[in-house]
Amino acid sequence: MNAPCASLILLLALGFVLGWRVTRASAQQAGPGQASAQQPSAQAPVAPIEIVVTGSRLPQASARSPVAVEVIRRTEIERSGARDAAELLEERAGLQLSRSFRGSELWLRGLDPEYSLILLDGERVPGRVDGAIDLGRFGVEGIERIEIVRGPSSALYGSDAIGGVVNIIPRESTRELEADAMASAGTRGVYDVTGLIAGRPLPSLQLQATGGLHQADAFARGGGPATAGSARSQWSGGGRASLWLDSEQRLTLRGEYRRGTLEGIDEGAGSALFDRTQQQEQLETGLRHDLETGAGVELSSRLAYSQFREQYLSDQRDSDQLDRYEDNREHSGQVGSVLRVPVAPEHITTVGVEQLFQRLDSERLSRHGQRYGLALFAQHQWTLFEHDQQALELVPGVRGDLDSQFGNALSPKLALRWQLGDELVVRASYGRGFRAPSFQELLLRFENPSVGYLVAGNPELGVETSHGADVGAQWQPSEQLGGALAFFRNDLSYMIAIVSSESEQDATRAEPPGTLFTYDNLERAWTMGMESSLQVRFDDAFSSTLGYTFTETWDGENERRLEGRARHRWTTATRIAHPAWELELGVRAALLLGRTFYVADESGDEEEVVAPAQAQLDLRVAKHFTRHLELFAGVDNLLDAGDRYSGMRPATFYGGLRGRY
Amino acid sequence: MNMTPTSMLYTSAVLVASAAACAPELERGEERPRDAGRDPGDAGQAEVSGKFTHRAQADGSLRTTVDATLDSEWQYLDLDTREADADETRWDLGFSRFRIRVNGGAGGPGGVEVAALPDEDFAALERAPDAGFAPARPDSEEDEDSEPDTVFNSGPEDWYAYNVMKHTLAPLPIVYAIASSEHRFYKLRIDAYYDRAGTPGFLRLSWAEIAAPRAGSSDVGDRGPDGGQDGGGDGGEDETD
Repeated sequence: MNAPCASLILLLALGFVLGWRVTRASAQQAGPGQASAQQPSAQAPVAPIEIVVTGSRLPQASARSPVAVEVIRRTEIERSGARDAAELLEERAGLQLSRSFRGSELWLRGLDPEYSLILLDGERVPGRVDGAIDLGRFGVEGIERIEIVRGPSSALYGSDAIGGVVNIIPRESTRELEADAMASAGTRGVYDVTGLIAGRPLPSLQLQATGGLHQADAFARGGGPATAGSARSQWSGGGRASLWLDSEQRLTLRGEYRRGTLEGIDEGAGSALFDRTQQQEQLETGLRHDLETGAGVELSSRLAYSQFREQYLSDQRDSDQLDRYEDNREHSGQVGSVLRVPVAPEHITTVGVEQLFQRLDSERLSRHGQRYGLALFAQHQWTLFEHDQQALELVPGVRGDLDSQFGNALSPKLALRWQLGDELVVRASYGRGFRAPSFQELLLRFENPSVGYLVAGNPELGVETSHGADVGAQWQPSEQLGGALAFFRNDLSYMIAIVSSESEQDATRAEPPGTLFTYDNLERAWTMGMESSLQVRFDDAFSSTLGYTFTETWDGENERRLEGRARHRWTTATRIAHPAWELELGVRAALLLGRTFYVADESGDEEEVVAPAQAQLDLRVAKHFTRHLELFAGVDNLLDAGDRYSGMRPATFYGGLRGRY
Repeated sequence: MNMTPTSMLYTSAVLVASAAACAPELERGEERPRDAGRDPGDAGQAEVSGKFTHRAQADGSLRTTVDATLDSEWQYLDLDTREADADETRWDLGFSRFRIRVNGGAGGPGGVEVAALPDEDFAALERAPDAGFAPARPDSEEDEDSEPDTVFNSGPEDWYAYNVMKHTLAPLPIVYAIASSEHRFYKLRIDAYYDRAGTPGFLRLSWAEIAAPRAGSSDVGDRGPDGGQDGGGDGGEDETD
């Protein structure tokens, strides 16, 4: 029996045993007549309905979402001890974080970071560096929740949404007066100070301000002067104002500015040493108008502008021959509207339009990159039947993109939601996706003076395409127990790859063999696997989520597995509390197995190497003094996982204080 | 794409918005004085000619550093005068990054020839070998450049080993015997391709004049400018195998 099957059976067996015990315990505790979370009654407290937006681009009850939306809530964020979105996601089921000197990137469903779309309040985040958005940029002080939709979502979101969508929802206070401040310090130069203040000076006006300061030292591994992880120093400040125009309309204005610096020492060819500094700035602004009529019609219109600037300085020690300075600036503007109309009780139609503008100014490009895009999308939620906790919904959707750079792309999707009683929901979907070539791939003109190669972009590149399918189920037999299981497959074609360019060989330059490179749409790959998780909760004293993900990948061009993906990934997040003492212990762990790498020997032949297992373990203890004050301490990466290539910070101890009003 | 009113509006907005991300430009650290090529063990007066820096060694040889970092420019050395000299009748060797030109045969009219001596000890070599010299030959298909092939660079046979993992060049332990444009003989060894700061293209050479082959035993210098094109390089190829 192979490992994924064994793991699945183990997980299901564990789920069954726990499910039986918990259901019994719950039945004994509640006695007859206790209603489930989906069926609140007068005897039971009404569970708040979880609202998600990423599955349909408008707020919707999570249970009615046509696609499964995983939500990481604010309470969970605070209990995790994570400082930024990267730390928050790295021990989640089904997600893999990869760290490099340029930050932390997300690999979703075995796909590289350029195949996942990162949104901030529903807007595309600019500033992909080497295809990845550094999730370390987003301090948790400004995050209300993170919604994750896995699988092809180009039918709603367009380019990049192949592996899935991660939507970072900013904090939005709804209280008359709220204040929250946190300060912590730790080993390895780690310290964090964050704060939020919000209030409602008028019944129709809500104001809020957030800010954060984060600092961590660089670290080295394996000897030598080069750093394995950069020093990080960043601060952010943001504000938000919401104005209720009347009972049906709301206007929201938000803005945030972040500035962060990453510093490290790199070792180049020939033992050259470089002091590297990357300074990143990000400005996000947005204006949104929301309308919800009594008839259930919802209209959300938005105007957003964001800017990402990265200054990159690589300063060679003892010489300036190989010094490099770049100033890259990316602008992104988005205008759009989404309208949801309940045509009939069993027919809900969502239509939307958006216009996108992007511009990148970079000295590494042969000219500045600029593109305009217009997209129309529609999604129809058709309830085929709904009766006695049984429901079957079919959700076709399609999006058309017209782009000044790559022409057009059509992304259809068909999703199905089948509710079988109040415990089980089965979902299935099939969708097409695409990724537009980046400005770097189109227009790059870059010579590496140290190694001596030249990379030239290819303006003729087309989009990469994909099709993917998902089948999954969510099982919630009681408030104490839940589980999810999903199988997926993604097939990618026309993937953009770096190729050695013979045709562009310039005889006068006399390039040595294989030192002139460009891009072409020629590769193909697939990823498939299984994601599973099991949640158990006993009142307020114990909760635990155990996840297992199996991922198999294939690089069709080189006929081998994609590099670095963990075939097996176990994760857990467990919380044990002593309510009387107001004390809680949080444990987060991840175990990665089966990461394949290809290492070239001196003759250039590549050998397949499977990296050793990597086990991450974070612990956090918190003691509450009244509901206003919390004292906490913890350790990240207790087992000191990682090596000089993984970029994982060695064991770091910290402690701090949080106050809230 | 032509500028439409919409794109003009966007472009104007972009220009205004650029002021938003306003962090000052990063400042580079204060560099120590440029010491590229200087070997800390080297004493003595440096003799500079163009991009060549010579230092006399205790054993009578010269240690020469050439700044050949420019990809688009060649640095030519006349071994006989130690001068940087691009005159086609006088220069002996040319350098541009990892490429080395020889002014003989297909490489130029200087009549320079080179023999590779992989098993030779640099210090012990006092007389040029009797055979094995070869001028530059027309470019072969075995490499992807358009340079004439030389004993130093011929595609499969180069003066360096390339480490594909680290993308670095390391000189092979080969001593080269050179017959110059003035029919004098030299021994030469390439010691490094990187300077102390790790910058590639700073070649460091050890070289010295040696005695001519024993009278009547060498055919070096009998060829004209095209002499290497019809088999003159065979000896050199054999030596580098």
